[in-house]
Amino acid sequence: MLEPIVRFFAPKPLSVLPYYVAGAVLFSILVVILLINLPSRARKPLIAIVTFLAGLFYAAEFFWPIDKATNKNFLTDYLVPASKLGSLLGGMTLTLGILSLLRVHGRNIVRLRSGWYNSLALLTAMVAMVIFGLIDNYGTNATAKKVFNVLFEGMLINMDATMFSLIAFYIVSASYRAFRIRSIEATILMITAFLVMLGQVPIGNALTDWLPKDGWIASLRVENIKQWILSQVNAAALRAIAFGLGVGGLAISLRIWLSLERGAYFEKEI
Amino acid sequence: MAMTPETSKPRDFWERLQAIDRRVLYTLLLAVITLPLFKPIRLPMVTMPSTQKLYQAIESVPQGGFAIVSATWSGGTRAENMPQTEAILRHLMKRKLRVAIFSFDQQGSQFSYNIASRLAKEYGYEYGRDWVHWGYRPIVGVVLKSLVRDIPSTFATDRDGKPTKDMPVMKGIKDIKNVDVIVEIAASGIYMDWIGLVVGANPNLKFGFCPTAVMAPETYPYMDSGQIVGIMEGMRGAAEYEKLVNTTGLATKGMGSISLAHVLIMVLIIIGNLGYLATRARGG
Repeated sequence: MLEPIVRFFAPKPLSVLPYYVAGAVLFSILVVILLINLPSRARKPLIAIVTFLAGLFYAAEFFWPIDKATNKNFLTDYLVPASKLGSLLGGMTLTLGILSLLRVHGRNIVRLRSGWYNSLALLTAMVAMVIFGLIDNYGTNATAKKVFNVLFEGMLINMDATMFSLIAFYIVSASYRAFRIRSIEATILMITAFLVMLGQVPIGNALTDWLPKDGWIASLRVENIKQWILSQVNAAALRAIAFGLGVGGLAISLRIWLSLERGAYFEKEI
Repeated sequence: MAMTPETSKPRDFWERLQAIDRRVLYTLLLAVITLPLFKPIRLPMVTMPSTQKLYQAIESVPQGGFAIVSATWSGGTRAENMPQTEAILRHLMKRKLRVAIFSFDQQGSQFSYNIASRLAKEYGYEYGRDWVHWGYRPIVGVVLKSLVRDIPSTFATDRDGKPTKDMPVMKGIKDIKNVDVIVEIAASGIYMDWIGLVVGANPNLKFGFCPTAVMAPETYPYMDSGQIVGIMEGMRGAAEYEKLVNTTGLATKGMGSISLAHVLIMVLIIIGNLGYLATRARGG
């Protein structure tokens, strides 16, 4: 029944691809115009219907019994096309994000607002990554590919690592300033934290390395104490939290799927 | 009441203990992290049961078995996740398993490809025959649901857009039942998606997880339940794994830095608390 749809979304040869792309763009523009002009009272029901149908597809595909021979049910073949639809939606939200960035930072640059050069750096970096990224994927220009390599591996990845590594410095400063044993609970927490930290690094292992590795006394080795804390005390607490989260997540999912959720975003006028 | 270090001037020794300048702290941390890299410290290394279990799980897969490695990490956690990825791929290639790699992160895709390409040369692995890189794949839930039922369709092309269906490495791989082992190397809670959508679909599947150290404690209940066969905890886990596969990599070299950084944090907490307790005892 859905076979023509699957065929329609299958990869296309390069000769007809531009027509499909042009058609998709036109169709998208048409849909966006239609959605913008939709009366306010029709928007929420439309969102509710689309949410319900999308959720129904995955729920039905998951729960519907499978044919033992093919290991599939009648919906299984449509999982991949559905995933492509998800990617398309992701692409559209990306476009929205890019447009928003261009509008906000473009305005900063044009009006020479305070810190306009930061906006310029952001937009230049974004445009450069897009252009050289596309060339890297689809082009053949060796120089452009090298530039992309410098931008991606030479800059982005290292800047990402640098930003993340700064956390270590803040952790040192924050733990020194904020960790005070003001109560019994805080004292227990600190002792536990120290034991886990010592058990996590070889220098901690060295402290109790003189103890035998077998027998009951081995339980006093710092790595074994750490292991006990993690696998017994910590795991029990996390199990309880995970159980609560699971039940809560299921309830929230059902409420969103059936459009029963209220408050904050869900009651906003659209 | 204790004074606030940043807002008022310390009056005596005990108060000064609580208000060490942050630049001093930063310099100390920088020193303890970098110095051991130039002058390594020899320390005893005990292999944790969680790491040993992961190693044993991969050891139990017969030669030629099919392994999927997902490298969902980026530059931010490369210090931990890169040695983990290298240790796992090294073990898989040593064991002569067929390896398929992909990532839910663009950076992870590039990193894992670079690591695998380098190791492939070392172990004589030929691309397409012994290993394949499926590239970056967005939208976790959809990909995982899809790969359970149909791997060739889910990963129809590799990272360069070449069709995978005729690659020898994919021979006989139809769905999750044909996969022997999956290892997720991540800096996030993505293991929940694997457990929820994939692990239960093949009772013989071995699912290993390599999180950053800060993520590790929350995964213990799933190792207890057997849904995760073993865990490689951060850089320390990677160092243990390097020892198991008889290699010395970045993780082993970094253990001195990690050790001293931990000790520095503990010493600073103790110093701050000594100052706090002494000030409180005086009624300050």
